[in-house]
Amino acid sequence: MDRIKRKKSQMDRSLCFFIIAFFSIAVNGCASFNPHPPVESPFLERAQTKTEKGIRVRAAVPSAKETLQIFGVDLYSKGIQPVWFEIDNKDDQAVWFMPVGLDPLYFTPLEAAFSSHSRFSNTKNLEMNRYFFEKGEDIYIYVRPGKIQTGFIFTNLDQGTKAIAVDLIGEDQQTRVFTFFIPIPGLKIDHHEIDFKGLYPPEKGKNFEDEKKFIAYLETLPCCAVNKQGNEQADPLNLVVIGSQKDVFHTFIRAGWDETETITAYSLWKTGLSFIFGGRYRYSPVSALYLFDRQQDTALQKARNTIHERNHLRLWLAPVRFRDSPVWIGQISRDIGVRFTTKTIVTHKIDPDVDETRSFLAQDLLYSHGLMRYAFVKGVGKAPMESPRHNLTGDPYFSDGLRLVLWVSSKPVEFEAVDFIEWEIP
Amino acid sequence: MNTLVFCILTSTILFSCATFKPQSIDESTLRAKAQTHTKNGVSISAAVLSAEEAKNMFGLPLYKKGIQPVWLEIKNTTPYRMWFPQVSVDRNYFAPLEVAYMHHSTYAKASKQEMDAYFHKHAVDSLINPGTVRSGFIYTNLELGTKAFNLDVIGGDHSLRAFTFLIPVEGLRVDHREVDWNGLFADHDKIAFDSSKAFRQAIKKLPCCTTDIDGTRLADPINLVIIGDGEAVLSTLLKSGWDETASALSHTPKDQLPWEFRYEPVKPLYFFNRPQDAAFRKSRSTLNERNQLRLWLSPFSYEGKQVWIGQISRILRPSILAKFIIEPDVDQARTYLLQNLWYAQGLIKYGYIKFTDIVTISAPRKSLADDKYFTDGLCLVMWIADTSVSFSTVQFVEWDKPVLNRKKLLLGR
Repeated sequence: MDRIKRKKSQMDRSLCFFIIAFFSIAVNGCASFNPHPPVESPFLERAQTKTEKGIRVRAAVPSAKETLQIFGVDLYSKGIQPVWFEIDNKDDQAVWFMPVGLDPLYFTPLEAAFSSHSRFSNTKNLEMNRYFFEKGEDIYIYVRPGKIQTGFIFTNLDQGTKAIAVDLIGEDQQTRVFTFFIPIPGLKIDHHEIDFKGLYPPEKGKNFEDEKKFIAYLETLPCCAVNKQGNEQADPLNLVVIGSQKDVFHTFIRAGWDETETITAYSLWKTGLSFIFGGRYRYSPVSALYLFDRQQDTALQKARNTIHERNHLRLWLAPVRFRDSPVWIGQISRDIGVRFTTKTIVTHKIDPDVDETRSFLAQDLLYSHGLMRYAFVKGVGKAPMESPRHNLTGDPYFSDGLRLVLWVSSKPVEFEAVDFIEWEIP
Repeated sequence: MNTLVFCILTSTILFSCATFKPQSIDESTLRAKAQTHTKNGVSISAAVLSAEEAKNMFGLPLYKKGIQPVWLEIKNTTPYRMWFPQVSVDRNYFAPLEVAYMHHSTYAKASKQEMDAYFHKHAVDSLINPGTVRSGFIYTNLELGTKAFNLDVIGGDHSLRAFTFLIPVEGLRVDHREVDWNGLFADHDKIAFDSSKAFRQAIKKLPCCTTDIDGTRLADPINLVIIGDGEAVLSTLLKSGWDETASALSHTPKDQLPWEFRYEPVKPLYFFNRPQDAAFRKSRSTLNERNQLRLWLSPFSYEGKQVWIGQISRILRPSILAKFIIEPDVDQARTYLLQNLWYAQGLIKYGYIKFTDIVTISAPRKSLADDKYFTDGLCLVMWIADTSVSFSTVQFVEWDKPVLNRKKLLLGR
């Protein structure tokens, strides 16, 4: 009952907000600054909570509309997405919480305000500054024991799911890792639509304890992904990733891989491109390839210097486990440019040296401290540089024929602790 | 006549393909100019090619596409197999065939294949077997000034050998290379501190702000103290993504590539009666957002390390035509640098010194260009490491305490 009342008063309030906003526009001829504090917004009801070693973190992301209500200006249209955090330090030592960890190019509160400043009203701008300043995260990044700290971090806009990897470093020299996947209402969601648990019921999935049998299984998997009809070979399946869903996603996100196209440092370029391609690029960045009779369970990508340069990879959950850990089969390639084709009009040209790209991934995960061990197995089949094989869009590639096996961890791993297991020597 | 020339030129472009003609690569000249470091049986020589050298050796203007080849020779005298991850040198390095592909356009098919083979052949291998030497190039992102990079070698003996290189690149004259470091202070002006109390007191006595050239008007506030020797500070900043800037005196826009605004000189501000010794810039999402950092060497040393006084701010402008203003909450820039160096594993510990009075958002102070700013009055003190520091061992030194309830206090009113 109480809840309904609250909802109703919330509705009344937002109705009131719109009426006031409407009149203020009609009467004054220019919009005034009418923010609504976050406590009044329903987005907090969607907050996700995670706890690690005495630290509880709540995170929530307001949608475009909710952001407009809370901050009184359309931050999404400026490529800015506020993320709300509550850090509750129940531990007996302090922890550090650093915005650069989740977005190296985060905006400060006053920068976010500045992006929406009015050209005409200085009073309004000052008011905005004060409001944003008050809603921002604490500047000292140091959360003392017993303290509950809340505030917004202004990040670069992500489409679809906001994937957040937060590392909290404690004075006890322990790092606590939190991964959040926060769906943003109004945009399409990707991997969360897949029911990984339902994909292979436990009685169906085979668990390998024996290393040799597992290697034999990996070697018998098809060399390549295929097209929908299953009659043409696509890119080589040159990856095996071992780890839980959490381990896999946290590792990749921390290494800067995105599930969907994101607007980052290269937003200018990307905006230009989506202009040319009518925005299609952002929402269907990676085409569907098939393994286990279905398209990839997840596609990740990492942008590099320019719009045409990115690495992308596809992963399929395999119907087996290795020593109780889920096993993912994958394919990675490096886009080095755009070319025209008869099949898809436009496609990304891949680096023919797919082994180089494979090696890049191992290094990339190593340097984001997500790699525990690695090994190589056969299965792709050799393709020399002089007589390359071709993928679906006719791009040539060559390979030593090996698959890279990566054991990943959501807990940071020191360099020295990483093991190379000598299954095959490249 | 002109028309004729035009016709000939056009048809040359349309109907002929360029041929790919690299000069041979002479490793002995590269070896001669290389820097060499050795650790536990592994030695690395590294040389950075200049624009001219890159063009000659590869037959293509690689700098124009933002590619800078670095030549490496890795000698493994241990009984273990060594692995050298290219990302340790440049997280976004270019793959050999990618570099070739970027230059394919005007070439005939045969030349394209030759190009692929050439770049592939000259790329450095990342596995080095016991008792062998490997050499070749890694194709990195272009940096002028000083090329600073780490090079890690991970061994079958489970140990990490980390090398740091700082190699000046021909072409750009950066500000700090023009400073006469020995002439900055007379010996009797130098003070070495060992007691933290005396050191903090000396810092507190410094003026609050930088000034204009005459010292008559106050400019942006001092908000940093960096403890560390020059080379360590430089290498940490470069590794954290900061760019050096050209010296104002020797800079002509022609020296650099047109899009390389990132090396433009930073406007001089004055402290210790002189303009900054070194200025750094870090560009952000768009051309309208940058971070700027100015450093002055102080006459102090603390615990045997040099002490730098700094001023950092985030600057922004609404559009490319407008002028830059500083982010009014200047303390944000300080906090950004703290995290930036922490993530780059260059930070040992940090603390704060109460430096000036609190300036609230309602009664802001003004910079030289009349930009308003406010601050909690703290100066961030950072100890910079000579070698990489683990992420989780950074310490907070409780000198002066951060302001309680900062937001409420600074909102004033």
